[in-house]
Amino acid sequence: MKKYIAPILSLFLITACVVGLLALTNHFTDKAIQAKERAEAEKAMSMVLFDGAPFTDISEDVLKLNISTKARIKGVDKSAKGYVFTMVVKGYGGDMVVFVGINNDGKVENIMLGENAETPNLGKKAELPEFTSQFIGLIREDNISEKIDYITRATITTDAVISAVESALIIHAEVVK
Amino acid sequence: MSGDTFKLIIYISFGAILMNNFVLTNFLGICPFLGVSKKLNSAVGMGLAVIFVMTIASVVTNLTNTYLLIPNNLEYLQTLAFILVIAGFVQFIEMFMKKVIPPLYKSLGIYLPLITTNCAVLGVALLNVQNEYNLWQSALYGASAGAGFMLATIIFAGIREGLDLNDVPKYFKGLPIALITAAFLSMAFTGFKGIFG
Amino acid sequence: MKNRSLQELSKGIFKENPTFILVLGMCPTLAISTTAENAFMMGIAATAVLVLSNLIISLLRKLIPDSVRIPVYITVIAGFVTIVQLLMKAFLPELNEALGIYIPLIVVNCIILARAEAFAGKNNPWYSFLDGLGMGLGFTLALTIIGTIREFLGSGSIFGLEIIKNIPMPTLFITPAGAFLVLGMLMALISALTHRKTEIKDCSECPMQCMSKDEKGKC
Repeated sequence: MKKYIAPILSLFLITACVVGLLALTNHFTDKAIQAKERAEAEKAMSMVLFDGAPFTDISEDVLKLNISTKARIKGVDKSAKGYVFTMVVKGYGGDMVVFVGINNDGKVENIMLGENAETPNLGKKAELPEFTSQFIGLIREDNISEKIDYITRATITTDAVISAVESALIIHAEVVK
Repeated sequence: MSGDTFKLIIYISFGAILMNNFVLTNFLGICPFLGVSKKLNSAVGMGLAVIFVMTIASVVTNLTNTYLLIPNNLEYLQTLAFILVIAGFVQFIEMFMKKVIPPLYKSLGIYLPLITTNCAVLGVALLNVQNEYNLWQSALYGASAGAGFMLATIIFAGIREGLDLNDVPKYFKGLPIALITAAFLSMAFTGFKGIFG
Repeated sequence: MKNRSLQELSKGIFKENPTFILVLGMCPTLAISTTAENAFMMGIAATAVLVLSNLIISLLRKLIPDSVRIPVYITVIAGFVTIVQLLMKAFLPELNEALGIYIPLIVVNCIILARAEAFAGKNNPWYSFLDGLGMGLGFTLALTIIGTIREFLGSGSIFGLEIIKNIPMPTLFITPAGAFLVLGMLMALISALTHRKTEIKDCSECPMQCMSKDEKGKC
């Protein structure tokens, strides 16, 4: 038994050192990664709420309000020009991210699609301005599905984007109360 | 069992065996694939051992990930933890087999050293994490990937047994002709891609 | 001394090239070589891990008990692979996406563990460093050659620069089948140039078979 102790101890020691080094590296890179992700998110936000910078993350407070909507909240950012809602909704190919910018008039300023797995040439067309620009100017009271031209053979994708925008408008109404 | 679950089972298993065959499409497990596939018998034994190891590896790494790594925010230790856990477990099973079930050890055990920790085994563990499979899905994927490996190896062995009897150009003997054969086999398997649309 | 240094460095590039002569590390060679750039970066990543692990293992070689040396080597290698992976995730995310799971799979790349066992565990840090560097560069060279061939024949470009624009290229070379084909042809060429039959190595040569080996190398 004695002859096993020394080797196993040194193996344990070396493993501990390696794990420690990895924890350090992880901590260091984590910050870099998070900073990058925040920068990218803010870039997207500036596209749906013009001149909206700087943005303040108020996601936690909004999540506490526990508003139930079809799409779920990934983030909510407040700006002098309005709010940006980062919604996650189930599309055809899985979850997709939709950025919805709502200005101080309570109207949709612009929307943009983020990460998604929609079908190229079908659902992916939802990324194009021809589609997204239809949402500009919409308000909570609008019946959105009647005002939007559905993408042919991409009903699920279109419905998903619509519910993301509807959800954003509902949450917006609660937030500004 | 709901319809969705059934669909998922078919998707995972057939996906790993045919559409994204582990060896011929994902290139995981090339070493044992090229090395053992000369005889049909060894191919079967090897294949079963691979299915066995990959299923166990999938289960063990999934459990480690779910109960140890994720709750403690230690995802960055996945690579290290997985490989130590797999290696330890397979070593343990090999010893267990040798002592308790010698006949099984005789037929499968000798292949264990060849597949303990290589691309295929670690690869399937990492893919389970990437695809976010839960425990039974991981086990299924591991078993199916192994089955895909076995299928490819058996076909390959069959072809190569015949090839050895033929006149192969001098510089192509050995590895080159094996690789070219694998190329054709891989091409054949891409035909499966469109099955489920 | 200078002669030996050069010898240790160059053997990995030509005489004992890990891919073409030693036939190790086939998985990433086939998987990543779809474009020259991916292949090159993969080679560099593997070289980084190889050099660092060789160095550390050589520095610690007198302190590592013989019976646990394989698990220790694996731990050190896995550590460096994870560091490379984390740095890539933070600073080179597109590359991280392109190389995918093959970055963590560097751990099981036979080349690295084989060099640790065969060389770094028994030689001083300087030569171990050179050995790692040479093997890594040889691997990178082989990988890049295959990548360039496949990218050129399959999409008409090299390192992203479009060379052939209007003629449709056989995309076969970018498929997995193409990988096997190109590697097979190259192996035949090497065999012709070195007048040696390329033996198929199975993983029994890879030190990773079992966790504890005695001095003779048996499990």
